[in-house]
Amino acid sequence: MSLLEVRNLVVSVDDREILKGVDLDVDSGEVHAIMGPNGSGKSTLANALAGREGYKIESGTIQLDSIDVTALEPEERSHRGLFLAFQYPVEIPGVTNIEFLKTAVESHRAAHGCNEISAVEFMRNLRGLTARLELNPDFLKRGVNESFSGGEKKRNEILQMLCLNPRLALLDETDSGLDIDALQVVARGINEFRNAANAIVLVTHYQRLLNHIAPDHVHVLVDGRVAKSGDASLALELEERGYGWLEGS
Amino acid sequence: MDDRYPASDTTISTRIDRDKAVAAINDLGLPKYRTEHWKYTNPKPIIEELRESPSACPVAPTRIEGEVEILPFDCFEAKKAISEYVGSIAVGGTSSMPSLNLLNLTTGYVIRSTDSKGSVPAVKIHPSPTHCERILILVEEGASLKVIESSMGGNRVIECIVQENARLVHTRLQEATNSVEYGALSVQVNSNASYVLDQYSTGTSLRRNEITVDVLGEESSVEIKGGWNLESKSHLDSQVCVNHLVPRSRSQVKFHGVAGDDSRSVFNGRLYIARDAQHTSAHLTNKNILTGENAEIYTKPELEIYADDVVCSHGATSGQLDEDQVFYMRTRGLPNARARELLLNGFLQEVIDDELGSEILGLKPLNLV
Ligand SMILES: Nc1ncnc2c1ncn2[C@@H]1O[C@H](COP(=O)(O)OP(=O)(O)OP(=O)(O)O)[C@@H](O)[C@H]1O
Ligand SMILES: [Mg+2]
Repeated sequence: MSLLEVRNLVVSVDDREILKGVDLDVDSGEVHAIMGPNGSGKSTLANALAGREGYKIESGTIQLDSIDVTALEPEERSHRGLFLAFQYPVEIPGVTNIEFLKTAVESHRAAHGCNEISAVEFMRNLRGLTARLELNPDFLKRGVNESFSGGEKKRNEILQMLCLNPRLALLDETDSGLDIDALQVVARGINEFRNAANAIVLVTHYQRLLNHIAPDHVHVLVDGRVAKSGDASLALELEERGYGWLEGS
Repeated sequence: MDDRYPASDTTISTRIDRDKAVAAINDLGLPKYRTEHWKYTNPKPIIEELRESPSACPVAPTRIEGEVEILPFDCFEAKKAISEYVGSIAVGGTSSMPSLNLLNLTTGYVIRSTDSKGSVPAVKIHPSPTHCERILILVEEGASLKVIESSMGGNRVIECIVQENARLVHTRLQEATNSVEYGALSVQVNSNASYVLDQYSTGTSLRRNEITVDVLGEESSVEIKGGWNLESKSHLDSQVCVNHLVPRSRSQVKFHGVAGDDSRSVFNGRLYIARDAQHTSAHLTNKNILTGENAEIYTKPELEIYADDVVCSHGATSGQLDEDQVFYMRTRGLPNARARELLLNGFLQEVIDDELGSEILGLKPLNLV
């Protein structure tokens, strides 16, 4: 049984149909890459999976661990192990990173009936993770993503992912905006996270991330549909040939 | 003498310049609802409250630390300072309310700091509901003073002079109450001096703040910030005005407000830069978040500039919580209500750097090492 099972998903935004019937099966331990031209619906898929308001599911289902989550609130999906790293992480001035992370972790623990984590233990974990991502600990005291550079925001997304340790991580263009060194750091973070019980869906435009994180499956989204699926070699083929040959297929 | 404003025979009453106050009222007229400065607030309950006799003894300001003089208006030593300053700083400008305060005075104090060495002296001003109170704060040349002021209704006018090279740090805690409150604060800031004000307000049936700062000396600085968190049928009206009258001074005004339930928040912020006030840097912002379906926000930032070489900005926003932020937080597992609470906390936290402020605004402290 798949960890994530998306069946014939049709999603409209502002009465415009963006996803026109998407199927996706992701098993535990797998890495999937989703590629495709700008505007093809990759972020729409990610948002719909995360339960964003305004992304109307016209038909189809989303199952996580064999449970239909199609009608669940975003936080409930999160508690069930879904994580979305945003293509454009949101700035939240006034709420410090540390406060946000602590509240997020507490919310997960509460949802699973666990008692509060001690501040000392939480901080110890967090310091370890920031060091692994080569993030300056001062970031923790700043407002969430507030005036962070593009690359810093992306690293912060990965920090949140590592804190919450999801079953399924959807990473929407986490590689965009990263410099060469940062890409390596982030890729290492993702690879260390990866295990037999979880799965990763990477939305990306570039082969360079896939050089670090080898995908088991590659899907190409074109105009709201999966136009082609294949193994890692498909990404290389796309790099060479572009998307033209898939359009209208 | 105008017989509409009969003088009582208290010592306080004999020490103030009643004629001048009466003249000011005659000149400006009594505040009226729906006129320019009272567009969204009816002054009637404030004026009516003045006619009521105090129901409790006034509480004198107390010294928290350091060397500082606290003199009741009716003691002999206060006489000189009263005749020299009281009524001359809060001249009203556009409002006759400070003059009405003077004519109805039931209590008054002079607070004076001359201390330029040692630790910063600190004073606490206590709530005195039902009183009509006047406080004169003098921070003498090179001296400093910290004032923590609480209010819970009543009518209070504070006049401050911050002399050359002096520093006054003023924290206003406007607590929840059912009574009507009027508070005027007029400050004169002289050369190289600084005035810092943090003001936090919660709900009352009616609270009106009038803050006027006159920047009279070069190289001086004014930093005003604060927030409010209004619930139920609270009404808060804040009028803030900073007048830059000389070159090379700085001011910053920043208020964040949350209007919930059926509350009404009114903010009018004005920066005035005189022709001579070249090289002024002055900034004013007011941001509001509306959480109540029936809440109302009226905000108006104003900039009046007559000098050409200045750096000034002003802006105001009002709106609802940002749903992108809410969604982002929910994808990290925060329940909807918790996400909203944290966002509002954060929004107010931006103007708070004081635990007292968090307490007044009802923000929960975060327990982290
Ligand atoms: N909130 C919205 N309102 C209206 N149209 C939207 C909205 N969100 C997405 N769209 C439209 O849906 C289409 C798909 O957008 P989406 O962001 O999913 O593309 P994408 O594949 O992620 O593109 P990119 O590679 O540029 O990130 C686009 O045409 C976009 O304009
Ligand atoms: Mg996208």
